[in-house]
Amino acid sequence: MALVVRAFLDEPSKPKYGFELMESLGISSGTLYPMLAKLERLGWIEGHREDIDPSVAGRPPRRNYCLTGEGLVLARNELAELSDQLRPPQAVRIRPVISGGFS
Amino acid sequence: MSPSSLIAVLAGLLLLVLGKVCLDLASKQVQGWLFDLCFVVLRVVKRRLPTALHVARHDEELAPELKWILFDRYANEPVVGLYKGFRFALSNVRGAKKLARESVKQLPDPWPKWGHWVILRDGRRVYIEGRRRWWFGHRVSAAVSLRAGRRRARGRYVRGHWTTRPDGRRVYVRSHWRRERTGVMRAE
Repeated sequence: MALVVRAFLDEPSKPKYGFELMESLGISSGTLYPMLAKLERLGWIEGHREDIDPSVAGRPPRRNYCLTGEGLVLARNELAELSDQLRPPQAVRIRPVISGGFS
Repeated sequence: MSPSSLIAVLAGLLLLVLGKVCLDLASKQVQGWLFDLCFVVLRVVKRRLPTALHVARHDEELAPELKWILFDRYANEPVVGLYKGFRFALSNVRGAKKLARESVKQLPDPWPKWGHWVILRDGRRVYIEGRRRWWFGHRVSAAVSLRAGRRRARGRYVRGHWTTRPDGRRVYVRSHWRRERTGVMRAE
């Protein structure tokens, strides 16, 4: 899910379609489309059918997805939280302490 | 070179050309069948989705994507296209139930739980709440049932009319002898 959200955040204004996301993220369609449906249901993205003439464009109209304004904010917050959770704990420096000694 | 050997060479060349053409035709035919198989697999996805999502998910999203994969994106690499298309369709079969679960929650409210498609006389397809009731076979209807559309000779009609709801939505109101039932899921 994070990968898909990240892909939308990379270019928020650019509409994306299913196969494009599948190819760029390496996710199967059976996984991607339910994710897109879920994000659409949550209001993070909105899908709309392309308004083209198939005979002119030479292909059938696709269903494109765009990040919504609310989705943009929520997605950034959620990804930031997720990266905080996944950040490895800071290594504790072990410094030798010299105490006492020979005189 | 004797004339008979010349004829034999020419006949051989002709056979080669004919063989090549026949092979091309056969491979095109087989390619068409295999491409059709991908769409058949995708129809399984359609069957697994609720009727209300058939148009939005299958007809407007998955089928155009598959068509694009097979005939445009990999038009010059039919084997790759077939592999990708088949994988696309099969993977969707696996994820169809999940897709239905995730999509159904976003359907507008009120949303009839089940219904049937009818073809209006102007050619539009609409989804009407409830089961098909043959006993309302009044010929004053604006709609022809889907099944009746295929078998018009039997003259089964669904009675109703189009109206605009207060929220601006155009719905097909199915007339009932006691009350009116509304609920068009989708009108094309």
